[in-house]
Amino acid sequence: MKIIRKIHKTIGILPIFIMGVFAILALFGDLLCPYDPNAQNLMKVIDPMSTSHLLGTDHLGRDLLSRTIAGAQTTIKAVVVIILFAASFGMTVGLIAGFMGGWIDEILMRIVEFGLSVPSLVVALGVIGVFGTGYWNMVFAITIAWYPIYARLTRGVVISVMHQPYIESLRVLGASRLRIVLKHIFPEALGAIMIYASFDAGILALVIANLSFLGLGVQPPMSEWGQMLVTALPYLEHSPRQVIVPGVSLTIMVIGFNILGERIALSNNPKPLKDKIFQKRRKLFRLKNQEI
Amino acid sequence: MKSKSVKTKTLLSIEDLSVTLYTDKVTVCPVNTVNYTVESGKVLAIVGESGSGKTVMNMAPLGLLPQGVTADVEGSVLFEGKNLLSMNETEKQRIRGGEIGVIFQDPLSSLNPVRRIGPQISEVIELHLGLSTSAAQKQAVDMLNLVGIPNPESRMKQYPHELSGGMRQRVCIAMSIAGEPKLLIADEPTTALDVTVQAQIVSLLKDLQKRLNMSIVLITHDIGVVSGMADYLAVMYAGRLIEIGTVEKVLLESMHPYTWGLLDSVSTLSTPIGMPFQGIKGNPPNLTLNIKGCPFVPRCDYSIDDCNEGRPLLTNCDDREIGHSTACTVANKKNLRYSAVSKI
Amino acid sequence: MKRFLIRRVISAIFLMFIASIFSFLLINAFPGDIAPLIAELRGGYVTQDIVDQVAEEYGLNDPVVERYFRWLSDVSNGNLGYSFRTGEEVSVELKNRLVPTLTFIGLGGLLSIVIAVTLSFCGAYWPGGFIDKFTRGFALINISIPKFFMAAMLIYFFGVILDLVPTFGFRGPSSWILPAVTIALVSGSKQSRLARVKLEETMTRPYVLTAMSKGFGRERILFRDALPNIVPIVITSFGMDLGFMAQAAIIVEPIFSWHGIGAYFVQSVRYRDLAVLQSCLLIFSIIFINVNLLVDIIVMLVNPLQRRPKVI
Repeated sequence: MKIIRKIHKTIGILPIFIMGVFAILALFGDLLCPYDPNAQNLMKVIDPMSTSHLLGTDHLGRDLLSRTIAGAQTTIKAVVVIILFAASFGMTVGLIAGFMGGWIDEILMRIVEFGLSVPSLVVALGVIGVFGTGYWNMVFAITIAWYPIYARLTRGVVISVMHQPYIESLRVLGASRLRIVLKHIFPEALGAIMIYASFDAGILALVIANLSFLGLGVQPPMSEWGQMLVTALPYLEHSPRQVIVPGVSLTIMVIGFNILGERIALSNNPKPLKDKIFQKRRKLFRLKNQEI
Repeated sequence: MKSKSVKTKTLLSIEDLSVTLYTDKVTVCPVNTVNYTVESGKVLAIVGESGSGKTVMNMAPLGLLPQGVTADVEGSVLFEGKNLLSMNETEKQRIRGGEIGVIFQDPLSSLNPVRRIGPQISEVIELHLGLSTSAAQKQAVDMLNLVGIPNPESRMKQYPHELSGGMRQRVCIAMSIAGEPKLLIADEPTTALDVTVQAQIVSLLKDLQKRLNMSIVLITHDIGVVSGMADYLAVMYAGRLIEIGTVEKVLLESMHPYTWGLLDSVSTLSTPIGMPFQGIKGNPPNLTLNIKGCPFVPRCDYSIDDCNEGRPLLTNCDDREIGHSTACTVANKKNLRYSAVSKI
Repeated sequence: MKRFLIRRVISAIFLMFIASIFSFLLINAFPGDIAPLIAELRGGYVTQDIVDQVAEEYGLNDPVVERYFRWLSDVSNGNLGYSFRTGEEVSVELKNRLVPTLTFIGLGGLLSIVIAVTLSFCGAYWPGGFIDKFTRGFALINISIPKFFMAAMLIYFFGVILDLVPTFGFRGPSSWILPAVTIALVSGSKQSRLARVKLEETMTRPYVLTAMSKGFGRERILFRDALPNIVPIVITSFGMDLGFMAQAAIIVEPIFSWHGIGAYFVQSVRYRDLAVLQSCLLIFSIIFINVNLLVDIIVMLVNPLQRRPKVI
C-alpha cells in the first residue's frame, strides 16, 4: 500500500490507470475479444453499434471491438519489442563509445549523429524500401531509426559517471574494467534510459501507426490501428465510426504515454500549494501559535 | 529632480507586521510581529544574520516575494498614511518604482541579460514620470551621469554583461531612483561587490540620498557600511526586531547581548594581530518550530529564568529621550550598560 | 565565434558525406536483389539472362567503392538516375514536386508559430489558471493525435460535412488550408509546450522581480522581459521541427493527394523503386542537415550573449 501511495504522490493516478488498462489489454487481450478479430462476415458489413457488436462491424464484417483490442495488443507488443532492441543496441554502442573513447568514440558518434539528424520515419522508410514490408521488417527498420538516441544518451551518462572521482578509486582498489562498467556505470545508464523511454513510447506508437497507415508497416490481416484507419478511409462518409475508433484509441494511448513520461520527468520539481492545502496549513499554524 | 521638504515626518510606519510562508514541505514565519518607522530623509539600516527575515520583511508588503511562494502578510504597513497591505495590484504597481524604489543584492542577475541598459532605465522614467520615449532616454543619460558612469551615451546601448560589477550596481541604482521615489530599499547592495567597489557604492548612495532627500532602508550584514551611512540602526534576530535606535546609541550603548556579540565579531584595524575571530556560540534558530520566550536564549550568556517566559517586547530603554528600544528581558530589568569605547 | 562556425560547417559537410554513404550502401549493398528487382519492374519475363543483362547495364558487378564514386560524381552533376518504374528522370520529377511540399512546410510553419505563441502566452499569463490548464490540455491532445487521424477528421468536418474547403489536390489557396492546419496544430502545440515551460522558468528569474519592483505588470513583463530570453531556445526548437514538418509531408501529402516530394518518397518505398528511393533519402538527409546548420547559425547571430564584452 505504501508503494501505491508513493506512486500516487509522485505521478498521480491517471497515467497508472491508463497504463494499467493497456497492460491488461496487452496480456489478456486474446481472452477479452468477444469475436475473432479476423473473422469476416460479409452478411453483417458495416453494422452500427449494437449489443452484440459493441462497436459495430467494419467493411468486411469483422467485429470492430475485437479488432481494436487486437490492435492495442499489436501496438503495445511492437513498442515493447522495439524499445528493448533499440535500447539494448543503443546502450551497447553508447557504453563502448563512452568507455573506450578515442577514435572508436569518434566514429561511433559520427554514425549516431547522422542517425539523429535524419528523422526516424525517413530512416525507417528507407530500410523498409530496401528490405520489404512486413511486421519484423518494420521492427527492424524502426529499431535502426531508434537506437541513436539511446546511444547518445548512454554515452552521455557514461562520460559523466566516469568523471566522478569514485571511479578512479575503484580502479585503484583493483576492480577490473568490466566490473566497473557492469556494476557501476550500467545501472546509472539504465535509469536514464528508462526515464527517456517512458515518454519516447508515445512517439514510437505514432511512428508504428504512421508506417502502417502508409501500408508499409503492419500488414493485413493483422490488426493495427493505423492500418485499420487507412483501410476505413474510403468509407469515411458512410461509416465515420470505422475511422474514429482506431484514431481515438491511438490518441488515448499516446496521451497516456505522454502523461506518464511528463509526470515522471517532473516528479522532482517542487509544486505550489493548492488552495485547500493552503487553508488547512493556515488554520494549523494559527492554532499552534495560539497555544503560545 | 525636485528637492523634497526638509520637515521630519514619518514616511513609512510598520505595525505588528508578520509574514508566514507556506511551501509544500514546511511552514515558516520569517517575520514575527515587527514594529518600526522610517522618517523622510533619514537612513535606517537593518542588520542581522542570513535568514533573520530582513529581506522578507521589506519585500512582502510590496508583493515582491519570489514566484511560487504562498505568503500570509498581516499587520499594517502605512506608506504616507496609506496601508500597502490593503492596496490592489494597480495601486501597488504605481508605488513600486514610483514611490518606493528597490535595489537588489546581485546586480548581474537583477538586470535582464538580453536587453540593453538604456531601455531598462528609460522605461521606468516613461512609466512613472510620463515622459515620451526620447525625453525619457535623455533623462536616463542624466541618471547614468548622476550615478557616476562615464560616457553614459555609449553605455546606454550596451548589454549588462559588457559592464563591470561596480558599473552594474550603479546602473541598478540608477534604475531604482529613475522614478523619483521617496523611499529606497537597498537589499545588501554591496555584498556582491569587491571591497574597493563597496566603498564607492556606499559613498554614492550617501551622496544621492543627501541630494534627493530620499529615505533609505539599508539592509546589510556589514556593520562598517552601517556606521558610514545610517541615521538609525535596527537589529533583527529570528524574525524579530530585537533592538532599534539611533546609530550612536545602538553601536556605542547597545543593550542586547546579541548586538554585543555582533559588534564583538567585527575586527577593526586596532584589533591585535593573532587574536582569534570572535563568533557567537551556537546556531541561528530553526524558524519552522515555534519558539517560546526569547529566541536568543540558547546562545546567550546572560539569560535568566524569566527569559523563557513570554516573548520580550521592544521597550524604550533610554530615560532621557525616545531614541533607543530593545527587546531583552534582562536589559529591561537591570538596565545593563555597554560601552564599545572601552573595548577599543 | 568564427571558430565555432567553421567547426559547425565542417561537421555538416562530414554528415552529408555520411548521408551519401548511407543512402548508397542501403540500396547497393545487396546487388543480388537489385538486378532482379529492376527486371521485374520493367515487366515481362525474368530470366537469368535478363537479370545478368540488367546487372551489366547498371554496372552492378563492379566493386562497391567504384560504384559509390561513380554515383557520387553523377549526383554532383545533377544526374540522379532514372526511375525503375516509370523511367522518368528523377531530378526533373523532384523539381516538379518541390512546390507543393514547400508550400506545405512554409504555410504550416507560419501557422504553427502563431499557434505556438498564442497557446504559450495565454498559459503563461495566469500560471495554474483555467486558461493555462485548458491550453496545456489542448496542446497535449494535439501532439498525441496521429497526423493522419487529424487530417481525416479535418477533412470529414470541414470538407465533407461543412463542405467549406476542397479536400484533395493541390489547387489554389483554399486547398492549402486543411493540410497546413493539420501540421500547424500538431507542430505548434509541440512548440507551445516548450515555450510555456521556458516562459514559466524565465518568470522565476531575478530580473523579473526587478521588473516588478519597477512597477510593471505581468503582461508587460512577459512580453518585454521574458520573451526575448526564450527566443534562442524557441528558434532552435522550431528549426528542428521544420525538419520534422518535411517528414510530416510524407504522411500528409498522400492523404490530400498532393504531388509533392513526400508522396514521391512513399511511392518509391511501396514499389521498391530503388533509384528514386536512393535520391529521396539523399535529398531528405541533406535538407535536414542543412536546416539544422542554418538554425544553429541563426541562433548564434541572434543571441546577444554571444558578443564579447567591450574593453571598458
